[in-house]
Amino acid sequence: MDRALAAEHLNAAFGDDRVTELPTVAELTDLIAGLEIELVRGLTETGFRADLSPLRRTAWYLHGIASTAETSRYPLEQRRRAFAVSAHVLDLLLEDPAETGRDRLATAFAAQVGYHRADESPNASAIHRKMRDRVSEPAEFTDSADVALQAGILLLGLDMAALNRRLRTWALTTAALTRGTGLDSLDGTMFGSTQRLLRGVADLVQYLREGSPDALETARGHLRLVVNAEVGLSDLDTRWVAGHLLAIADGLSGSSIWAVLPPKIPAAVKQAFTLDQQPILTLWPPQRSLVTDPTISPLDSATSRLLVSVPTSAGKTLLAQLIICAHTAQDDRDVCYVTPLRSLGREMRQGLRPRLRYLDRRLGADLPDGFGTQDLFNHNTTDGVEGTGQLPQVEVMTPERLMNALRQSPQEVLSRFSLFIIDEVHLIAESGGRGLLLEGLLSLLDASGARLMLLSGVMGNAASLAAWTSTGQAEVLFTDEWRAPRRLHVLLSTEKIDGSRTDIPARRRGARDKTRYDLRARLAVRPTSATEQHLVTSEDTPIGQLVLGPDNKRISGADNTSPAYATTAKTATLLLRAGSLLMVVSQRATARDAAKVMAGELEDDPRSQGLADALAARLGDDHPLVGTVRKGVAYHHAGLPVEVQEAVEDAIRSETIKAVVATSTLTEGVNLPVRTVVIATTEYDGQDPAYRMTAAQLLNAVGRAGRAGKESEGWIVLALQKALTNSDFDRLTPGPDELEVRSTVATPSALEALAAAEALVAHTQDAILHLTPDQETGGFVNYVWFILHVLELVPDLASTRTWRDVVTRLFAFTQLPADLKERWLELAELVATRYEQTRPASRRRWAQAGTSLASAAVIESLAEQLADQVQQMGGLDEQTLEETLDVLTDQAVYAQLLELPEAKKYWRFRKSPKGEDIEVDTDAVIRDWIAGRTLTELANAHLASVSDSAFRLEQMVDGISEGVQHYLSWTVGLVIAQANDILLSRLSPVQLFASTAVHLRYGVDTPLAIGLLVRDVKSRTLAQHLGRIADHSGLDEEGLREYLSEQHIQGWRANLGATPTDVLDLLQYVQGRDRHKLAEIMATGTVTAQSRLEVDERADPVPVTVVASDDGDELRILVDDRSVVGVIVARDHSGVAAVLDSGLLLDFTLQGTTVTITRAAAGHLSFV
Amino acid sequence: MTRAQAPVEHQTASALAHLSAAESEEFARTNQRSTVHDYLPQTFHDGAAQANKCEWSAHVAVSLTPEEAGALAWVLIDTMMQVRFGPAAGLYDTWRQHTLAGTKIPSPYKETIASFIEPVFGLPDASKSEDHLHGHVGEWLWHLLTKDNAAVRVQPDPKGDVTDAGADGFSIYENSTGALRFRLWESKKNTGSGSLSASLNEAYNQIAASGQRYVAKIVGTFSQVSNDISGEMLTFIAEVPAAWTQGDELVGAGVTLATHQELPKAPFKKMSNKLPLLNKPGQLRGLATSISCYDELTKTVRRYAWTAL
Repeated sequence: MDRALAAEHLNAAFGDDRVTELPTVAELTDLIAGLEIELVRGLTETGFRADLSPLRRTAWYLHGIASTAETSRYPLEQRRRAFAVSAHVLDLLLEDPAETGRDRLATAFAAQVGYHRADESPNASAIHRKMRDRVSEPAEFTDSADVALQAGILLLGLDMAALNRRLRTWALTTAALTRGTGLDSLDGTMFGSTQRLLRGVADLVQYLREGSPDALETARGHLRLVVNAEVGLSDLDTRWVAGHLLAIADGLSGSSIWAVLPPKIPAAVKQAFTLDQQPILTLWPPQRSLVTDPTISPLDSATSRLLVSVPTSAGKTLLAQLIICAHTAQDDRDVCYVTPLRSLGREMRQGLRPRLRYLDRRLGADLPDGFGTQDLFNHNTTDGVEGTGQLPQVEVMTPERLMNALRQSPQEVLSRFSLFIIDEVHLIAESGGRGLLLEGLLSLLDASGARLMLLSGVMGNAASLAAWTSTGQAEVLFTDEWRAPRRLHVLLSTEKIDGSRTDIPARRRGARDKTRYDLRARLAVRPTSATEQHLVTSEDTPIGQLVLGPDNKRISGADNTSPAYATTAKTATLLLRAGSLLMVVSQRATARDAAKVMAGELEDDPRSQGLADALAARLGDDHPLVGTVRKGVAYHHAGLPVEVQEAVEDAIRSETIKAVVATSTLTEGVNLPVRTVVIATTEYDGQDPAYRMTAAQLLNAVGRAGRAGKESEGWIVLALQKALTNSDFDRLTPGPDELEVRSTVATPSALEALAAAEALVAHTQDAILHLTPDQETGGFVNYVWFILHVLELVPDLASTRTWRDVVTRLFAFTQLPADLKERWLELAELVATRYEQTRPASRRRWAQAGTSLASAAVIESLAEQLADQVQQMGGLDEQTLEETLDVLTDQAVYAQLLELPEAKKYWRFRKSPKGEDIEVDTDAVIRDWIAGRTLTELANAHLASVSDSAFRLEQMVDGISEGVQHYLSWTVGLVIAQANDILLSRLSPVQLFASTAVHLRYGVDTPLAIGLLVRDVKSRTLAQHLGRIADHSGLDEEGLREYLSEQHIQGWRANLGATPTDVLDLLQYVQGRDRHKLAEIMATGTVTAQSRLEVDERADPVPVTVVASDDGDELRILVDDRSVVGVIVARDHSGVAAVLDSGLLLDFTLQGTTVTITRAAAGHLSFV
Repeated sequence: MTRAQAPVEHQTASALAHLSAAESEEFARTNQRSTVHDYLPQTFHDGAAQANKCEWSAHVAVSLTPEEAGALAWVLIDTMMQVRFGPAAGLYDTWRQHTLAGTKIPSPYKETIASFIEPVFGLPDASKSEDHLHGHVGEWLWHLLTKDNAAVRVQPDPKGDVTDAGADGFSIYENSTGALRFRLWESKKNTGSGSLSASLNEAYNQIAASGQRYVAKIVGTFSQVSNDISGEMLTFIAEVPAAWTQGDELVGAGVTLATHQELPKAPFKKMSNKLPLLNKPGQLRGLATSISCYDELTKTVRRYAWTAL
């Protein structure tokens, strides 16, 4: 249930007034609830049934009293609540088909005003999105009311790009008109108010962009004149818009980046947010209250510990970006942002990259988990800083990668970073080893002396984690329940349509008679805790069938009762009209099959064809994902190649596809906000609870519904295979008890594992070596070993702490009873003893491995084997990739690594889903993979005995993704690093090819291709292609950049077959390390770019303009007569595009091939 | 009151179509008939305020000569253009001179002046909806016939663009005891053969359905930042949304009708049924203007606006 509908909020909105002619609070709740239900119903049947007039009247009444002056008898809090409730209702009324034309614009603007004034500004952006089509064409300047409403809607939606374009158009018209009148302005004429309103809006934009208090004051002055009707005839809408913008200007002056960030933060940091192509102009309430907190503001370098626990969509990611940018602008040492969610990491990178570039700071390359130190310390070619010797100032990585780095070089890692931000820290409760790894990381980083900021979703016991964070020293917890989008809870089940009964007599002797019914969906909708209504889907469009035997037992299997995923998927298809949808299921195969069911209900979607083509190129035409994506539906699970997962995530974010079906383990790992979340995991009596979604997982999935800034409401649909009861709704709102974050070491299963380990150890002490880190005991053993190793290598740490200090600092030790602490410590003592008994080189290597200690020992012996062979072969230098691959083949390294328990079933192939296993030549597959062959080619070449081509391809995709890219790349990397270490220790000059594992990871065969993939380019085919071109032509990285820049975007499309995504990637790549052009122009007032001219160069500077071509592929340089004389070179394309998009007013001159861009003297848009 | 006969109306219309702006201006000037009151005197007023009653007045002109109609059109367009141009007096003079001289305004003035004419009227080669033209002239008639009331404290001029959205006007005035009152006006025109009561019902329904929205918007334009709005006015305005909801005596509604049709005896009779909350004396007002050549009049207004383009 949501804030706006809570009775106390409705009561607060109405205050003490007895307004007898409006619905009572209870009636209003029912009416709003009814309308919410109408919206759900609207998806199955068209049109609204409800009489909306009482709601409409109430909404405008509340908007009216909320709009009264500060001094009115309505207190501030009542007006705020009245704005919130009216905004909610007006927002819903926008869905009413009867609401059209300018009325609809006014309703939208009033809803936006309400959301802004109620501090729910992201919902105002969501309203703008709803109105996008309606405001996409600029209103004629002479249509004053339309101009006012459009300007208002764009401003309150904070759509700066569109608003800047619109203001330019209107500025040209009003300036021309003003000149025509011979007056200084249009004041007093019929256009006076419109002109002043636009000047006010333009000044507000300038304030938000550059923070000048003068601009804010001028804006107020213009708007005041309009409100007071002092500047000529004005229609009510223009004055109404001006009146609210005036009030909101006051709000903006309290919530803008400029107002909230402390003055000591350099202006460039603020500009990095406000001048971005996706600008951040204001902060949300939780962000504001944290940033301005007197004691725990993360922007204050004195704040060394902090725990922020807020719901999804509260703006945590942006907060992290602010902290990072502020820190790196003021501190010499680096920042490490850690998130277990790979996709969140990618989102963070996308957000940070342009901001850091603006600040002349660098972001480290996006490398896989296994590449701990190499990249972090500039030891090889994959380093992101291209041989400058300087490290990037900011790294974004997973806990696994940071842990790997610490295992290799703890001293260097700990001394490099002065700030660690650990996001999604509640995931310390995640089983399977990841949680414990994160917990262990926290305990070590805590000892490091760096600033440590922890961010998490909602936790039942945030206070105790906070107390742990600060060791009880100070208040370090920040919580806030604010969240902009509302949520609507829906339960879904199926029921038979009685009238559809068909009796099917047995077809052959001995078979059974059957009865078949059509199924329809029953939806229980609960807009408030007190209101619940049931809806059913139409009987004419059944969502499946139920087949019963003579004993009334359900018969499943082909042609019988439809599986639950299928009926849910069919119902989910109906909900797609509301917006993007995520369906969560239990199994990978179900994800695929449910996506197929949804796709079967849909037509080809033109928006999705580009992605489908790209996936077909990567996965092959036969891959089932390609077929579903053509219809706009994808599935997503850990078995798909990472690049494919990322493409699917990007596609749902950008609405290139409309639905994705994912496994439940994945919603934890992926930050995928959508309009509607359908939870359709399988549950049955007697099921192992470990396979059910936990309350936290459920809440996490629920949190994905409703994207802040994109929509004001999200729906959560819980699909159940049973009759619905009221209490089923409770599962969607778990309480603090259910959301308690417990260390995995303190869980019942951990205690069972501990008891088992104790029994084993009593038998043989070596047993501790065989405990694998994906279980709590193995993870714990592994961690203790690691800490012993760290203390050995970091004397500073060892001088102040014992291993017991660090181990007992684990959060688990705040949750365990004394006797259990003792037992875990006894296990730790055994590890310490064993550590002492192991020779130093081995114990170091075992610590570095990160596998179970027994597997680490196998890896070490493999490394020795390899070192022996290489030494025998002789040589003076690092081997080539080819030579090292030969050594790996000779020593049967892959086969031995695939026998370790860590290999799981990553490399298993079958003839059919339940058929017999088949042997695959691992070595041959890997060589073909590195040679750049496509997954389809690999599948056809190496799995020819699998007759079903789709299954063949799917298995190869799974095998490459999990077996090669993840597992072998990691373990082969370990073997080679250790072998090289051994060779060095033997003073042998020869080394194995150090980057072999990177080639396994990326499936390309040139270092340049890897350089492309770890930085900007996502397409393996493109990277391989460019790598080969560079190889043939002897180009180094800079040479390749020039080659690419020379071809320009059209050349990339024509010669390299670059897709739109590839083009964006290459634009990033060709920029190299050039300074951010916008930052330069802001700092110095001028910036240059190079052009490719179609005419002769001119020695004298000539004034020109630069405009983007319609397809955006070229930034064309135009002279006075509007003829095109050339284009901006590819290398400068992105930079100049950013300058153009900033909304700054610019002058351009061309001299030779250099285009000089300066800020126009006037500085801002002129309307007179 | 007799209904104007079709042939007469037709005759008036065609004669009116041949008049020039200069002739109309001259008629108004020489006869010293320079305000709308001079053409549309109040012909009826329906006595004192009572509960459940709409107090109304009528301005009926069934026998305007073509010259009178032309002069009224001139008075209207001249007033409108003066307001539209405001301090751009040079442009206004240019427009007026050329209009009266029957000459075309040269570029670049023509383009600028056209921008001031375009809203509502459109331009000769791109005319706009005649419905909006009829409505806009109706609003101006209402405004000019009522604005000089000394009790009126706030009553904005009709804006130069008419739409279907938003109130057609409001006024804040002092009642006989000096207390502030708010009235929302809805303007309707009837230029076809449809019944007047249908047009009026539409107006009542619009007030009932959208009044609360109009009120909310109007409240949003009164803010404390204005220097010249008194505390008394702000306090009053803050009461209007609730008063409107409840039909409190602080608020009232008015409907204005402009038509070519003959007025029935009690045109606003149904208003109190349709707006039952506004049942206190003085809450309902009506203003009916019946001009037999209304359609032709509005087109003449537009023709004069365009003459010099």
